[in-house]
Amino acid sequence: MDFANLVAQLNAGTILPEGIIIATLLLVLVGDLIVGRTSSRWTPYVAIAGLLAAVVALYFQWNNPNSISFLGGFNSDSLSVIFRVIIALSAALTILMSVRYVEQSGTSLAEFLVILLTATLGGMFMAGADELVMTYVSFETLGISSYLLTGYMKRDPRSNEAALKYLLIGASSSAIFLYGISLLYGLSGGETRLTAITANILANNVDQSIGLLIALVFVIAGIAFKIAAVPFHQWTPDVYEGSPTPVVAFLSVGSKSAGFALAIRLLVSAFPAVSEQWHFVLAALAILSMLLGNVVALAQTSMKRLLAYSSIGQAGFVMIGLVLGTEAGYASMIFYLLIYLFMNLGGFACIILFTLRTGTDEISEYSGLYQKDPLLTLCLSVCLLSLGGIPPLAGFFGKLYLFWAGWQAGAYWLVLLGLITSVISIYYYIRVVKMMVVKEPEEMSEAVKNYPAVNWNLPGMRPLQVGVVFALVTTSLAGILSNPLFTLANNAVLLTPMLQPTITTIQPAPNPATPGYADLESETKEAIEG
Amino acid sequence: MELQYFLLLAAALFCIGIYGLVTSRNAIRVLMSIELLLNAVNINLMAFSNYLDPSGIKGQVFTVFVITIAAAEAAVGLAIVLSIYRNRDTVDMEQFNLLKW
Repeated sequence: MDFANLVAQLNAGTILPEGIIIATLLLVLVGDLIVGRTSSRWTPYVAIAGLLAAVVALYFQWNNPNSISFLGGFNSDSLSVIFRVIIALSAALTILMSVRYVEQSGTSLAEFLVILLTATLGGMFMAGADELVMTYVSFETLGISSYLLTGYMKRDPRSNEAALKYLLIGASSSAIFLYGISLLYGLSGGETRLTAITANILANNVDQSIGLLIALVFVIAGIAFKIAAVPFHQWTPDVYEGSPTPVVAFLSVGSKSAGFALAIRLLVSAFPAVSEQWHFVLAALAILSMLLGNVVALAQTSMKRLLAYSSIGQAGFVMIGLVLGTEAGYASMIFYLLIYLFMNLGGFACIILFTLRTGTDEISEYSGLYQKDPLLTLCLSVCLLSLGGIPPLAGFFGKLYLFWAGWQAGAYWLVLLGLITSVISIYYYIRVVKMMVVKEPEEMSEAVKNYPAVNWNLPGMRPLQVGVVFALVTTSLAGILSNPLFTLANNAVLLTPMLQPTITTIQPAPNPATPGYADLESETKEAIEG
Repeated sequence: MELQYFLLLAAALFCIGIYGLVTSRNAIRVLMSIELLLNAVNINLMAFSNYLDPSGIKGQVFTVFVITIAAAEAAVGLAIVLSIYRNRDTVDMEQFNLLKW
């Protein structure tokens, strides 16, 4: 068979960005094998260049009319493009901040990069997976490489323990997810493509069966594990505390966004028959996440644990957008994730910098940092205040849009709860800022008293500095200049055909030839209106 | 033979796996319970594939993928257990309590 012909038939051009990342991965791996340990001077930059090239390639995928590829296995619509951009950018920023961290810990950098790129690849495929086998394989690619990253500091018992906990909880939750998927396969009478599943479930008249509900619950359990929603969050604080900080940064943004992409695609296209039920379950998860995440964060003494609970709370906010099911809801969710990418990674970059210089991540050790390192203090304060939603920083506009979309869709209780919990969250973010800025010189902590002179010329420090400054600039400016991001998020939703039938109630179905489509549409209409 | 028997077998195996997951203290036993969960899914997929999709056999293909990934997961899992055993001299889940608030 002619190779070019095969590529054209499978529409393989849609996975060009992933192809670039695979090539980069191999280059880093083989380059490291040939050159040896000195390769750490160039491998991170090769990896970042590859990721940025993938982002450029994704730019050309935007609004691709022929988005279905690999016989329906992969869908490169605008929604997946924007999520893939988020995941690739989060990996690139993570590499910037991990160079020094990995070198200082004395482990091999190239292996770290290879595993991180594999995780990115899994996340990106997951964002576009349109078929059950593809979904599961990419879910596990992301999962298994995350376990490896978590346990990367193999001489540190805390990292080991975090990896073991993550692996056991992750593997069991993915098995549960898989059981749900196998039920879905059976209920649809042997279909693995998400769109065909919906049509067959309606045609087989099993759309109200208990089996479908069980499948739904199991699938939600798997997704909720990935996005760390309460009550599937138990791994989060332990893993965040024990694993290397750059890995935590990636997990909190890249892995989480991939989970949200999976949630939108799977729930919207495979479960419209039980749309009311999944909206209800997700609303409950959102409420629990916002409450528990933000309240438990108040009592934390370790910075990484604080950010772990804060990320649980943030996942709750993002889930508001998912629950609404309106165009504005999805758009606000993407907008918030775009902003969350910069502010959360900025926060983690600052924590990494502080840990590298002092060797601790206790919150009390940050007191009086302002006198010794104003840049770090400024950046960490801006990122934390932005996470808390203080105007005019980016996080404020993200939350504003989310809550506005919620209010428009009539989800008053969710919005009110979101407002209350974000006030709580401001308290614990401000506590850290106050600790750093307000303290008198004599109240300085031991770690800050022995703070080493700021030296950016150590190997691997420059990338970290670039990361910190970049996050600082984007977090402070993205709020005021948020219009392009806002348009981007809106267009991503508008240009995604999958999200249209559930959103528009007036327009005719784009593909009336599919059997059972009319039933589906009237049903989703009822679900939205009722 | 009817489809239900296979589904019941799979469900029973899945429950045994969950039980093992919740009660085991030894990390290796937990890993084995996870294998049980995955094999329950495999039975499910094979049964559905034989009864509902005999021409497409997508379920059988899916099973091959699941077996492969289960092997990868077990390899990573055992590697992590090995490294934790080197550092802590135990694989007892109750002993792993460095991380908690």
